[in-house]
Amino acid sequence: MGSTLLHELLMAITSYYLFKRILQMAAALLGTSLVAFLIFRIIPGDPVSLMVGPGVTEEYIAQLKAYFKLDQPLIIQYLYWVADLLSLNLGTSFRYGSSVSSLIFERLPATVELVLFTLMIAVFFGVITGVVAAVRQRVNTVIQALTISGLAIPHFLWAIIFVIFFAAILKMFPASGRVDIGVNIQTVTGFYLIDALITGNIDGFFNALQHITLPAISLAIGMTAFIQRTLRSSMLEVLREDYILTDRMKGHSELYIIFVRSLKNALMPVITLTGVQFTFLLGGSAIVERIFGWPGMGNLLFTAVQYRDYTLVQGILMFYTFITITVNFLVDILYTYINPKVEFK
Amino acid sequence: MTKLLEVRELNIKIFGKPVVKNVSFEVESGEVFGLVGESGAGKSLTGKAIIRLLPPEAEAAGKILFKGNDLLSIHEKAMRKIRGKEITLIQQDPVTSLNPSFKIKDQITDIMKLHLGLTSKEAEERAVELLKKVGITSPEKVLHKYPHQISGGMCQRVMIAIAFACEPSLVIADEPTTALDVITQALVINLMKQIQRQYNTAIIFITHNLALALNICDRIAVMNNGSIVEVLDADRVFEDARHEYTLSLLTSIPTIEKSFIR
Amino acid sequence: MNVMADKSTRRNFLSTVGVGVASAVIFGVGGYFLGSSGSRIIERTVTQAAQTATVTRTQTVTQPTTVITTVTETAAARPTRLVIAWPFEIVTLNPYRFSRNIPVESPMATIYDRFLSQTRDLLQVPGVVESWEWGAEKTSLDLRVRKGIKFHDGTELTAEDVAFSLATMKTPPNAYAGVWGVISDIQVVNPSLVRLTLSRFDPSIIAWMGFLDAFVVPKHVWERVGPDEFGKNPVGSGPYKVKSYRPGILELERFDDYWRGAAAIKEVVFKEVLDPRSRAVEVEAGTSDYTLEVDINDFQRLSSLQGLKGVSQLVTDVAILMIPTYYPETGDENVRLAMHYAIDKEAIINNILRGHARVVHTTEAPGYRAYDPDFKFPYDPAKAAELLSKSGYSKSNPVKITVATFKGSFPRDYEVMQAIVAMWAEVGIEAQLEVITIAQHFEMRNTGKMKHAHFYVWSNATGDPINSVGHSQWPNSPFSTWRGLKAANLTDYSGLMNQATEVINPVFLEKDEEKRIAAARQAARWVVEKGLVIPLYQLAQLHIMKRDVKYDPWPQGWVLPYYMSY
Repeated sequence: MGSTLLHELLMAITSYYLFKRILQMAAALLGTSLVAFLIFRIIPGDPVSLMVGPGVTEEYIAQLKAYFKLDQPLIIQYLYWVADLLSLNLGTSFRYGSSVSSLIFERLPATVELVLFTLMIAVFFGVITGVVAAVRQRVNTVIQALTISGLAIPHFLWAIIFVIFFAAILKMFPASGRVDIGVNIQTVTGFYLIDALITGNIDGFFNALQHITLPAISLAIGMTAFIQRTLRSSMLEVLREDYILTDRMKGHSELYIIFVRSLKNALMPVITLTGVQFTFLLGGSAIVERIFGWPGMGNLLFTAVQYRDYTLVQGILMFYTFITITVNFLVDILYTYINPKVEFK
Repeated sequence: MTKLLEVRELNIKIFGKPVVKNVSFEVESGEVFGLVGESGAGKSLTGKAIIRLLPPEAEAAGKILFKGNDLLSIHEKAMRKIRGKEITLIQQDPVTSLNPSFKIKDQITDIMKLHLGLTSKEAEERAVELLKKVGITSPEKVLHKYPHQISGGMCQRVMIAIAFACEPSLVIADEPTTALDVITQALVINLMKQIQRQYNTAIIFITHNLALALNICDRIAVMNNGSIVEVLDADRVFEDARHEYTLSLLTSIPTIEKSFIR
Repeated sequence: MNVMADKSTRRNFLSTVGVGVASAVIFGVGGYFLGSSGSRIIERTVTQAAQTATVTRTQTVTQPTTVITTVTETAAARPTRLVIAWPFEIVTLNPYRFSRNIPVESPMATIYDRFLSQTRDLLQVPGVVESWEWGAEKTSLDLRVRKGIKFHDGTELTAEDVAFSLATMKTPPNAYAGVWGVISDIQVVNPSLVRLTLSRFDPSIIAWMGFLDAFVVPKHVWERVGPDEFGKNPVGSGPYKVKSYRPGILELERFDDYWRGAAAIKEVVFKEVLDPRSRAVEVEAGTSDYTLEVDINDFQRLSSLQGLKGVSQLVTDVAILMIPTYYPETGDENVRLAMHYAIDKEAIINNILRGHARVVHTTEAPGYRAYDPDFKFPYDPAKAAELLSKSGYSKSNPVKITVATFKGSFPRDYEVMQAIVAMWAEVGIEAQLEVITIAQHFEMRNTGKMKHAHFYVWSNATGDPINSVGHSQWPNSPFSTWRGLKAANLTDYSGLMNQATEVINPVFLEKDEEKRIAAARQAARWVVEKGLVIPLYQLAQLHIMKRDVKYDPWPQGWVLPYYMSY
């Protein structure tokens, strides 16, 4: 199975498709760069005023503006920035003075770990409940009721409920952070769960697991509901297909038919959804990160916007776009692997 | 010839509305039995009732005795041992009746692994043989393809291979050639007959095409509006047909085709 | 000054309670999923409970006297670590990089030393710089560097490091380069003497040496690793050194060779928890020992919990209303003063801020150098109505203005402004409330697009009038309301700009310190009497800590672990 995926990937790389795809990527990045550049320059807020301390002269403010090229016409500023981008340089944060990419990479693993863990939970429960809802009408009613509350309550509200209920009142879970103070997990990938496992740090693993649980579940609930709904309807469709009748006719067990023969077909829209959700969660996790003191990109973006740290905001947006495009690309490949009918075109 | 299947007083309701009414017939081992009628006559449902794969909204009553067991009352687990091994089904559209997400190999070997206890390797070897038997010239290649990568006719050959894989005693062929072009139709029909003879398999051949049924079947039951109007020997249809509906079907067969019959 | 603490809205808190019930079912699902790790969690809470039990016991035993020496064994069980749930993000430990409000710099103040220290009375006292001496004309300054101070890497702190630090700070884009720009030359006279030459007299330079980014870094380390790397693995001379620093968590360890003597607590952790609710939960659940800037409701509740205590400390943050005079309405002195007379500050403090603030009558709070205990601006709605009627306004014919406020940037900011709008309505001022962000506030101030009045919190931990009445009111300051008026070339309907310049000038220019402070006191009074600013109240900072933590919060708003103990 793995080799097939690899094979598809290789085919993709060598094909015309990839070339076209790269062109699309470039166009998307260019578009984003424009939007990212303009959006914070259009809304009011002067980064230099927010940056400098008091006791500053007008001359110094002018000097600083010149330093950051903010005194130039917008188009020139933009071209400078794009030129930097082309040399893979996201620039220097106004506020922190550090390079934007190093700021991003410092905080990215926490967010990506949270998002991936969320996806795992959401896909796991979404698929199970989706399938059950499709094949068991009675359970379906219960699941649908839960789904509605899952969809109706936004993730940050879940986060608040969980913090109060499980951390403050029951004290079952930690309220914030990625691990307890004093728990040291050697950094390999930056994903604590994985790092703890590969360094054989079992206590660290469980500690990190406890910490990630509440934020991940708060984020996962809505998504689980989404996946559940999508999968249920596509599953119902698939179960009516002729080929499922063929599989039944062969004498396969119902479980095999549902989880192997049908699921692979029914998962298609779920994969698309998951890809979309991944990128959505990257940005959408910000509030939940904040509530759980999760030291990810959310906090960084928050303050970057607040302080009009143009380069940092732009850098983060560009980076997110890049990730979005890459994830879409991967989803497409996964798609062709699962559904051989779709080919690279 | 021994009695293989005996359908007695089969009634099927869909959402409470009767669509198959008091259908009774018998099928002998090795016999090709035709169920002929216009679409909506209930022949397909009758076929699916025999293998107990009616859609959830349908409800069947009566008796379907297969080798002495009533298929309508045995446990689902026992039924699964019969499906695929003893009774199989070939559907109308070969392209949609193959799972698009799995390779031909997976879809043909699984049934043998399930019922014959073959290993993957053995099943694959047998799959190659079967595909050769249904007239596929390079079976190894086809095995590694997905359904959408081969033609409709090829798909139906694969379906036939699947249906006959475990040498079942009964194959229910539900309009197996309707979706195919005329030439392929003829080829597929010949193929089925050939294999049927070889394995001495009984076939319930469901079709709206009386001419075709007459060509392939030993006996035919003519269905209209959920009931069997008469059962006839295929050889003697023109002579024995009494029922008005049968006669009207007979007159609608084009003369050219008539000359092909027998 | 820029106080930019951000606190997200706390409003939705209550509304969640109802939803909580509905969610009980889903908790079941979660519980099922977590089934396997459940036993571990219970185990943890049990040991935790055991720990707190021993802690309280040792406290009761050791507190009366030190007679029972055998108990010192248990005293070793006294916590060696203090975890602070920290309201700000910690992104770099480079002390010069970004503009900060007062509490934000606390981790820096723990790792580094400043040139000068500051007492709780806001006075500058010797620090790394043992003594200082003005030269003739007050355009040069000699700094004598204390001997025997060690950096965390064991090297001695010398005049070279002081000079290097000053030189680095004054280089853009470091956040306060503008402040230090007045230094035209830095000369290391000998290993313990640095001589600064100033391009002009600047009375605030001494205050700045004990403030914000005035930290000393080791030249040799900085030059070797560069500013970015230094920001990740900093070396200072402060009471704590960095044990580990990863995003979100800064773990510090006591520096035993600290020149003032080693700190009481061995390890201190700053843990980034930006949401005020979550910080409350942190201390409530016991995972943090200390936090600050919690919501007033949470503060009351947590203070009453067993094992926790709350301390409300007035800090050097003064809430004011900034009044630009480029509108005809606010150009009218009667209107401006009526706006002030109509505000019942006591009522606001008692009812909205639950007593966590103190009335001020000028921009100078008690303890500031230019504080004037004799000046009071009374609450007098009758006077307000009278003034308005002089300009032809009344309750039936109110003067119409728009006021800008933040929502959730400062404690109860929006609610306070709602109350003020209601009070104004009583006397004949009809005000529209508009919510803006801090970034918008700056933009509006700079470009002359302010509303008739802006709520703002002006912070001055130096206590020097330059940083309160000076920069907030002086027409030449880029931080005053006048800046936008000048930039956009608007009409000054009050006609007071030149006079304001004259009145405030001495705060910046007078070389005789006593005269300067006296002038500042005058100026602070004048701007209020003319209605150019409406000082509201001095804010309190709310701290929650474990009951056995001994710490007296600083009025500057700093959180200084060096002064904490168990």
